[in-house]
Amino acid sequence: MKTMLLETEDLCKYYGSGENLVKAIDHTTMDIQRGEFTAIVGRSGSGKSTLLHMLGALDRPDSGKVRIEGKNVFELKDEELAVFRRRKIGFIFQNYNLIPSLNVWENIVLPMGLDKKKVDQTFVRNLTERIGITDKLKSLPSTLSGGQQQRVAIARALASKPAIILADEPTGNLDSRTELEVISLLKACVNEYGQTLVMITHDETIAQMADRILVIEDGKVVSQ
Amino acid sequence: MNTINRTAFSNLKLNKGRNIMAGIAILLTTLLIFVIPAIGLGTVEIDMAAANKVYPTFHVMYRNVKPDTAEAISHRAEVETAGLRQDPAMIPVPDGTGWMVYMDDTARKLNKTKLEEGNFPKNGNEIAVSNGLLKAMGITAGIGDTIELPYQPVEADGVGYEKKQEFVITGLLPTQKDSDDSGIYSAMVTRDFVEQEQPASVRRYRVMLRVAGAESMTTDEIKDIYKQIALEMGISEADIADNSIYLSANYRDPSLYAGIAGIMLIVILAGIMTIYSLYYITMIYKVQEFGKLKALGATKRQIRQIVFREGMLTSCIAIPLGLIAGSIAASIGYRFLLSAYGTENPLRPVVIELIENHEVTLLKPWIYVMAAAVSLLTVVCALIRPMQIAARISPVEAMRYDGSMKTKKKLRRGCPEMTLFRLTGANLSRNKKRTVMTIVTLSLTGILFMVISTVLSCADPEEIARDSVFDEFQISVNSRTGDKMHPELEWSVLCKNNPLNRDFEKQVMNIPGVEKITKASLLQVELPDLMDGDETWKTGIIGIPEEYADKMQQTVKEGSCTYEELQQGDKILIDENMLSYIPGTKIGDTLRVVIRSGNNLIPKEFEIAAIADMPYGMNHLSFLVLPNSVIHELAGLEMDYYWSVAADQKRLQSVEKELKSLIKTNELLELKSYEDEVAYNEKNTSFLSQLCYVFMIVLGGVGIMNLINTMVNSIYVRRRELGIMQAIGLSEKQLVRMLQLEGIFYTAGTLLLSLGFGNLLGYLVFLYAKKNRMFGILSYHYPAAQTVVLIIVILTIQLLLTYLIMKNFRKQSMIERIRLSEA
Repeated sequence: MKTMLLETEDLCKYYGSGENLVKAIDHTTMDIQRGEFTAIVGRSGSGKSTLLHMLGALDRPDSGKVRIEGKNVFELKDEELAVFRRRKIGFIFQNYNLIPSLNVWENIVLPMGLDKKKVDQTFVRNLTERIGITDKLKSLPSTLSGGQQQRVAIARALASKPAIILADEPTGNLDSRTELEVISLLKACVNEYGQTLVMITHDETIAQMADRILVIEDGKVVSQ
Repeated sequence: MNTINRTAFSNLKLNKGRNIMAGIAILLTTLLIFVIPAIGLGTVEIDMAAANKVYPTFHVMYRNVKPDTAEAISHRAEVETAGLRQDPAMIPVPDGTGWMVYMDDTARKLNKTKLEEGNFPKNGNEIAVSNGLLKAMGITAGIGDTIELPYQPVEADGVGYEKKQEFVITGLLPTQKDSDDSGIYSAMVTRDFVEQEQPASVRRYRVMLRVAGAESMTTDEIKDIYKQIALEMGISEADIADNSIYLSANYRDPSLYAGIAGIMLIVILAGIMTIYSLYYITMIYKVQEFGKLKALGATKRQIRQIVFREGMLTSCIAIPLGLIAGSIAASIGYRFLLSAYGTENPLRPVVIELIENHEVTLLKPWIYVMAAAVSLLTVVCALIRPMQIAARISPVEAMRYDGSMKTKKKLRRGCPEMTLFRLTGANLSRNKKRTVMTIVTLSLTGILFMVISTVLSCADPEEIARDSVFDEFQISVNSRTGDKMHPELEWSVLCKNNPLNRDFEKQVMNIPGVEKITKASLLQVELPDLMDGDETWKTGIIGIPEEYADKMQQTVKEGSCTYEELQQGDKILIDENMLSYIPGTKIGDTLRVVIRSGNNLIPKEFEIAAIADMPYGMNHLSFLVLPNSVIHELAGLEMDYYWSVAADQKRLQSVEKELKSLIKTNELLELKSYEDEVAYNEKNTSFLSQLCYVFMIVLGGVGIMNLINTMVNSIYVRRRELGIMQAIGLSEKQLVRMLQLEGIFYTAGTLLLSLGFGNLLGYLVFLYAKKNRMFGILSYHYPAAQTVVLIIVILTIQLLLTYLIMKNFRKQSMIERIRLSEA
């Protein structure tokens, strides 16, 4: 039996004012079950990324609520939110966004370090084996290919065993062969570790791999 | 406006913050480049102008010059001007002497002879006299009146019989203040009168002359020239009298120019480094923009020009502001300098007058041009590298450029667990060269500060004073060596009637509060084996009192000798400073001296027993030292020259007052008090230190611009990276901690280098200063207060900066920062 992990309630986020008012998120209500793989699709500028940022508690909404495991995250103070984020959410960005001064291993264990948690060495080693970057652990990000970098980013998102993985077009910068590999890997891992994946994508094929597709148009969820 | 200029101009506006900082750095650099030579050279110039105004301006006077020789001298190329003086007759003034003096126009000008009223005499029996002379002669007369004066013409072998003549007064000479006491008067007469009294065959002139081109010569060069002229014109050494007071007032110290150049070099280097790092770091995040420009078709040259012109536009604003600030600072600096002029300095009122009447321009046009040019050159030097970087960027590379520094490193050993500390460490070690450069740049000012502080803290006024005045007061004989005008003031003459005698001792000891007199003696000797120019070396041997026997033995640095051994009379102790006058002197050498005792010359030989490093209060700047008893024996007289007077601390004031009144009756004695010496040294050091610290503050300002820039840019460049870290769980507290850690690293590095190198260099400079007796430095005093100030200032700036940067950082939301990556 699946349980509710994440839900939004009448979520709004507007930018600008008057004629320039952009309704990035407009009264959106939705929910995501634990263990589910959800793809969010929509045109450029439809509000996908803004929604994902709200779900990941990176940005505060103008109104409405985001509940993760039943808790309204925006009731938390910034400091508590940072802690909540690093424990519950893993992010994967389009540009990989690895820290250039740290090697692969350090990039992966950084969220745990920031949380002052002891690194589960066996788990992280298994993870790196699973995604095939064991021989690159001491390399600096700049020496890796795009696909490799994104694998590291995936490992970083998974390593602290968060409940939710939020991925913002994780394959946007990759060629189509690597793209499929990375998504398959991501999906397999999420399944293996029982995590919930929410992914923004442009790609129909990838969207089809999801358990559920949310279509966003002008800041509203138009079909689920 | 063409595209390049427009782009440069809009960049100027776009990078406002950075350009303001660069502008401040350029402004401060210009200010220093302007102020240092303006004040440095201005001081010299104003001193010289004052000396020119007060003292007669001839360099030398030759005496006993025949009329045709005088004529020949005046035609020589080395001579700028030559004036003639002749004293044809003496006026018998009751209780005094009067001289009839003739001077030609040039001589009057060189001698600064001025009239109170009327004109100088021109023809026949015209005369200019002083009211003092008229009064002394009992005559009441004014300009235009005819008076009868008695006179005795000067003849080859003295003065002749008294004559009388009528003179017409054409002008009034000012009465010298001291002629009332001394009874010496003068009157100006005409050439006609000279010719009437002295036929050309016996007439002898005094020729006063200025050497041509002296402005750019050192004092020694001037002396060489007039000595050579004398030699060639057959003027004997004894007839050369230099205008020493004027020469020494005009003394040019070559090290002053070297010093000014050195300080300016430091300023320029600090300026280049700061401006360079300001522009260099901007390049890092302007890469994309330049890439786009290149993609749009800008050539390398155009890109370079954009960077260059942006820098030049900033300079166009900053340099004039720097010059204005410099003019204000220099003017204030001069006022400050004036207040530092010793009140006892006779030039002080003249200097003040010169400045107030704007007779000396302190802010010279060429200094403005020079400062502007040097500053501009500094900016150009600083811009070369950023220009190259900007021009080298390939469009493709630039588009992909994400602000991270490219390193050649591929691997990093890393750590199994991450902590905030390690994260900070990883970032700092990412570009070690830049991190080190930043710390080195920041430390330069700190090192300089520590070196200056060390020197200043070593110059302890009380210690320096105690070194030269052992007790509360010092009374010494005011003799003069080598003054051809006053041979009676030679010590060898004065000692026969020594003012420091038993009677005087009784008078001093009778002053309530005086506890003890310790007497040191002085013996004039010649060193026949050593030459000082063309003459044998004349110097003095100090006789050390038995009371200082132990003290003296403690100062021995090389060899050994006791006071008792020296009392035997065949060994002598020398001070270290003799080695700098006579290099190669060593223990065991025989030193031949000739003792001048009255008119007798007694040769004597000593073996050098040991070398000592003595305080001034003991050797009184002489380098030959014997016990008092030996001096007494050699001279056959009590040769007391310095009396060190110990007095009750509670009665110092009354003792000083009594001593002063005792000294007043005898102009051959001089009184110096420990307190005066301390005050004098304090004034010197406080002036020096204020000047140094003001300089340091301005230079520190340049350094702070650099620090702000480094910190701001290190955050700015990494803003996306920091956003990502926040997204994956870095809390704001952790972010602040991380920035603080970085700050602490820079602070600690800067302090370590500043204090480490600063103290080391400071100590070396102290050793050098001590060896050369610069600023009177004697012993090492650690600049503790300055160290604390440096630490506090650097820490405060660092904390303040972290705070301000965080405040600014918060203005941008995390999302905005992350979005940068998707732009």
